[in-house]
Amino acid sequence: MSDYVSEDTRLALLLCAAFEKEKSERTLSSREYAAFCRAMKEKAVTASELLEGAASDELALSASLMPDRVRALLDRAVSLGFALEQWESQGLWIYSVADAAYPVRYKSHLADQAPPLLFGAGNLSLLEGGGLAMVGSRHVDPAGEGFTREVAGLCAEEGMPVVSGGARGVDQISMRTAVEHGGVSLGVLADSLLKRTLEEEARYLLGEGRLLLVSPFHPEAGFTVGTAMARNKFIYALADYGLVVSADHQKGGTWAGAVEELKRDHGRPVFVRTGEEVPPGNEALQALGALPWPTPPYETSLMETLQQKSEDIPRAEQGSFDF
Amino acid sequence: MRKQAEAYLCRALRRPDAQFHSGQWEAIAALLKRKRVLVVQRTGWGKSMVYFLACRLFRDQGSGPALLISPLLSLMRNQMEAARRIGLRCETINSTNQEAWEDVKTALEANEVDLLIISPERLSNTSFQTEVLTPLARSISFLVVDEAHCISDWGHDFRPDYRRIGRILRHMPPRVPVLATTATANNRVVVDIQKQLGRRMTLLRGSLVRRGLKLQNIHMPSAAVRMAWLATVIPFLPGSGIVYTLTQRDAERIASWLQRNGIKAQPYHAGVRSEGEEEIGRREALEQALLKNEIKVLVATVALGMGFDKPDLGFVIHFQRPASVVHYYQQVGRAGRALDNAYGIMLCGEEDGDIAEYFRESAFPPQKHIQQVLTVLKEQGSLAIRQVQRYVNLRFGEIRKALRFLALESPAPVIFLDGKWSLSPAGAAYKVNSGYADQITAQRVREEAQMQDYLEHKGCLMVFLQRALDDKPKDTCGICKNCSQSGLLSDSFDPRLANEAGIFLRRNYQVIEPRLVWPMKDLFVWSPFKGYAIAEDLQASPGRALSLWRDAGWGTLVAEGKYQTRFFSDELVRGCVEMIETWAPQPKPEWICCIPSLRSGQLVPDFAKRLADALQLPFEACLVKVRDTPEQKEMKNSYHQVRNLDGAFRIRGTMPKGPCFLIDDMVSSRWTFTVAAALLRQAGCRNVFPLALALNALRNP
Repeated sequence: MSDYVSEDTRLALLLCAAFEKEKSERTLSSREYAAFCRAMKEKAVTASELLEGAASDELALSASLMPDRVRALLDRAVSLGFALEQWESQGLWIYSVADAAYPVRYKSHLADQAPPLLFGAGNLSLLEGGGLAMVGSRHVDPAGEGFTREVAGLCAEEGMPVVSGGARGVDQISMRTAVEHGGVSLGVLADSLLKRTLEEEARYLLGEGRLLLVSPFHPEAGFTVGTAMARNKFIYALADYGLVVSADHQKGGTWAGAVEELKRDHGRPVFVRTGEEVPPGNEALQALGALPWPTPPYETSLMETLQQKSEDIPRAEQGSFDF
Repeated sequence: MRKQAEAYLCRALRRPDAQFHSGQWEAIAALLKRKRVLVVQRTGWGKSMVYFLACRLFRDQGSGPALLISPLLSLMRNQMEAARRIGLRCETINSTNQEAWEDVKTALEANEVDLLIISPERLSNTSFQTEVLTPLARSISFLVVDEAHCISDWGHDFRPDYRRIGRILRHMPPRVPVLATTATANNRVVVDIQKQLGRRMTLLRGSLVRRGLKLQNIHMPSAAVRMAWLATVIPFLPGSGIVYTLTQRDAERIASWLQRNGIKAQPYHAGVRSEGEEEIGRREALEQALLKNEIKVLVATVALGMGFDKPDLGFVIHFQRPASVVHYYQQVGRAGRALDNAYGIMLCGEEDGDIAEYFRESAFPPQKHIQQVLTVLKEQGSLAIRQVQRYVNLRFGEIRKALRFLALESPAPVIFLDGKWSLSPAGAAYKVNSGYADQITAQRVREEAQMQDYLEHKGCLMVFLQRALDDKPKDTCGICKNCSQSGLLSDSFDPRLANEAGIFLRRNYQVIEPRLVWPMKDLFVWSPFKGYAIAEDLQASPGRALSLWRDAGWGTLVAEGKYQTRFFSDELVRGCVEMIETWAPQPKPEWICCIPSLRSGQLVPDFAKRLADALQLPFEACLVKVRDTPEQKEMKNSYHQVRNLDGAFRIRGTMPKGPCFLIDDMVSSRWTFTVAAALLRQAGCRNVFPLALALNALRNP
């Protein structure tokens, strides 16, 4: 068998991945998959045994899943062959939670919500994550744009990765500025991973090793509000700190994502741009616990400044997602 | 389980005493244990029965349907009946039955289909794979790969589409049972298939010997002589059979020659078409006609091959030397499986080596083309092939070939998405692995040499074939040309008939179809032609070419005139007059003009004038060349060809308005004729009939 992906990933793909652009099977959610993995561990069944045809009913029952559903998912082995061949030739890599390359940040920060699978392209060493997550919005005013450039440039100079969602507006400005200043950026995409790897700028940076594109969804999935929303937490989780440039009040993905992160137990520290020209959402987020972005000049480095500012926020505990 | 399988076997074959051939049950049993199995057995051994019965037993156990990947577009009717008798429903998905896809999908979802059949070339279509196949494959529980030797790089019939199948197999978890079948695989190919199926593959291999097949080689260099021989011998051969040629053109020509000689013959190749009928339908109809002995002979290229199953096929004759022993065995082995006496004859000709070399050299796109195409995508971004034409001077087919080759690499340097080709991140660092192409080319040279050895072999011919295929012959066949002198076909021919065949070859008039659309909208800068479609009142009428460039008839004489004597002989004038008599274009042309050239000077006008005299029509030099252009043959695709002609010609003085002949020596892309005819028609000429001495067309199998 090909060693393009690990046995665990092969199994995760059977259970959790859509092989079509539009999801049509009832594939396992992150939580269901985590429960199934625990059942496998309990009963000492390995991925390779399941791939060879070992029975799955007992495992399903002990993970509180319908045996028929799990069997039907495992039966998609032929489809898996077709899909893997295609993904490999498209130059994408795939990792699942049990792989060494899978970001520890996801396992520790998101626990059962950690995406079972990651599709991606580019410099794998960047997948470790870290740095600053910069978000919102798609339509940014000139002040917000200038601010985004300034912060992203600073990150690049300090060697902090910029993590963003690859959408128009703040996402793209921050990622582009970071690489322009010699830094690296990580795009956590909700749709069209494959297409993005083919865009000229991305193609060049992926080749240079200064960009990483990653997505928990099918590489050819189209845009949906649902996946875009689900993706917000994956942006924060891959970084050390979050920064909201502009958020609408009570609506839009930036708002929802920031609120979700602020409410999370041991969530990432969320900073927000302040000042006279910021949208009302920014102020409201501050009221919900977001920290004002420290104004330069900094006494020490940006990294240390952010660390000091967020010290009074409880830190995430490690290791709650056990394999 | 075996009892149950035997009961199904009896029902499928409608014989209460039917028994498994040796190996059949072993294959089924291994599959039921979810193993991967390679079956190497000659055609007719009953490979389809293995997958039918395995499929039936899997279905009885509640498993999903089977997927069969086969170059055969539909199973033979008798096989379908056998499947139906054991209650199997088989469905196909291919490019020609798109209207049925939705129904097949619904039936699959309702778990009503037992066996789904697709052709390998469907797999190179990535959107078909993501949008149609992957969803359909969801419940597939068992996979069959027919003609599995193609997944080996060392297979004689290496096909790019199969590269993908090999990789798919490697990616598929071991829980999927796989049956790979082939009629021909030497040890090297077996090892290669094993690499893709996995170490624990079960190999079941039978003997390839074929009793009752009388092998004979006859050396006849001249094509006309071989044609005379065919016309004489075929009526006396038992039953019906196949004549194999290497090119579509030869299949067409020989079929029509045999028809002229009162033999019921039909051409069969990848391009056969008849009006109002799909190409696939036409091929199926021809296969059926041969199966039912409604025709005496199909003159076919390698396109008639895999899986064609007619137990009482009386003879297989090769008009030219096939590319390898494996090809040859596959083709000749179709003869006489259920007969005590059948013929396998190989004629070999002087052109064999050239044709083999052409196919070999064109198997892979040249590195230069690949580099050019990659550079364009790098510089211009995502493009459709039509747009790529603009930036590189390569033929449309060459561009497509380069892109397809690249798309089958993994990781692929180019990716086809939303109708356009893009460079992928892997594209920047991509290096052509020329070692790989060189290796395969070298292998092909060795295979051709082995075929030549077969032709000259003095011992038993059947033993030679078996050894070449790593089969272990127990004994000589006793009936081939080298084993026994009785019942041989005479190698004499009727010289008068050979002469006639020579004339027939010369009368190989080619139709020059008028072009109907420009390669791109509003392409012209200097010439007054607009839009995409060529207006009806600017189009040429269908024309004729006297010969094919360098063919056995007039072609050689044309080449001589063009490059050696710089004069087209009067013989060619007479040839054209004769052609015009049979052609009889309507309305009758009233005058003659020709394509002017600054390079070749008087060569064409001089010929046109002599032809005008012979036809007693006036010659008018009304078309003039106003701009020196690079040779049209240097322009490789439509875009460049037409751009090169933009503003190159003008009409001078007054010209007659009646229908005319427009003469040129060579025609290839037809753009010169198209542009010149459009100018003439715009100036008021009623009809323009292009006439060329030779058509330069590429060969296809």
